[in-house]
Amino acid sequence: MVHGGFPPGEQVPDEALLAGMAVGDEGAGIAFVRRYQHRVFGLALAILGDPGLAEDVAQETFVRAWRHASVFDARRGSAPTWLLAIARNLAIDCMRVRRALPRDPEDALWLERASLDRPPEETALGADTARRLGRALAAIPAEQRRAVLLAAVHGRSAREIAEIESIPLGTAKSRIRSGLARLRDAVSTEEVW
Amino acid sequence: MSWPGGDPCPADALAELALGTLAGEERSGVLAHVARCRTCQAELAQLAVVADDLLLLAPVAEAPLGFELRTVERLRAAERDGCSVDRGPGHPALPARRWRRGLVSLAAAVLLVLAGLGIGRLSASPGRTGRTPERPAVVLAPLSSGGHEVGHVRVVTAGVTWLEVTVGKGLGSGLVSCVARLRDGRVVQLGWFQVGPRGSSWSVRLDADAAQLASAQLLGPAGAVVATAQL
Repeated sequence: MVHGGFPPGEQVPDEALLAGMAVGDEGAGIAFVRRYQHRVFGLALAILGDPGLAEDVAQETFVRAWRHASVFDARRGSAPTWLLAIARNLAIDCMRVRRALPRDPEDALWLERASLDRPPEETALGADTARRLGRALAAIPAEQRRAVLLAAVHGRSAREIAEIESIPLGTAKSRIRSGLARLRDAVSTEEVW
Repeated sequence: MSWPGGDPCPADALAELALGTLAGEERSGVLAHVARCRTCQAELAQLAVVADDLLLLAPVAEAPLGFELRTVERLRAAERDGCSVDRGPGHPALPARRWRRGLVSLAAAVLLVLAGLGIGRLSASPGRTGRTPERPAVVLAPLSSGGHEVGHVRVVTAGVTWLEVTVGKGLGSGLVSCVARLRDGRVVQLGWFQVGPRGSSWSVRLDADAAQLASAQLLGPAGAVVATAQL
């Protein structure tokens, strides 16, 4: 049995949970795991494609978050992006250790589908940001979208993307730069409104 | 684009730096440029925010049954095994912490502020003003059927007590009743709910104290026990 925790449904801010974790409060740890387990597992599964490995990576992600909760700085980003970055890095490390083959670049397109199709409650955490970015992502050219997602989510370098896409290195670099810049511009424009 | 009096700004590499995919000498060179160029510093900061936020678009997938329990056990194991704990810059790593059953001062302070703002539901009732709010307690137990874990039961006490049943795909579908077996031998009927083919979640408020609960059981229409959680 697991004892301790915050009642389900309580909207205790992430920062409060991380503050609790930083000083060893089990309840805060449980609540944090409960809040983000599906997101972390989902990202790991999307990168690795193996449920067993994805669970291992997801669990290790929460162990890392527990250990380093005290150095989380809300001024440098939100808790979910911090946590998901840990998960992404662990998944990429796991993939490289296993010498996994690069995934089909079309697989990266799950991101746009997920962002546009999911019900609003699933994007409640970082919902506005996710929606704006999802719209911007859908609006940029497909080749730029693939390049950006392969780099941002799958950790692929420009050289690796060039090989995957069978394009010159310069073209891969250009697609990454143009895609990311357009996303930045689109999100900035929406923020004005 | 170039910064006044210097080398051209590395636009392509700046995006790769923001995405964390730049390595080796190229990375060192770009970092050296960024350290001197305010324009690139601003550009990098903006691109890095977008790069990080892209992860928010990742799909949400239902974690495997029992993931929460296994993860918490792993956190406990990390504690027992003496993992180092990062206390931030300038602080040496500490030995393993002990899980704390009571709210420690910092977390308590945060929650008290939240309660005072009406955000939380942890504040004392009007008749108990002046008392320290009690920490909500949660008991989480696996729900088993035929030796297999099919879900979990959570009992939460925070002023009132309620019981939440989560059933995964492994139990089958149909109408079930939920009963609580108390430590004094009594059996309390809690209610009925429908289990769908993809599982269900159901909750009920309890009159009994959580400490009185020995187990929760799901019964089929004929009264046979189909799943049990030992509390």
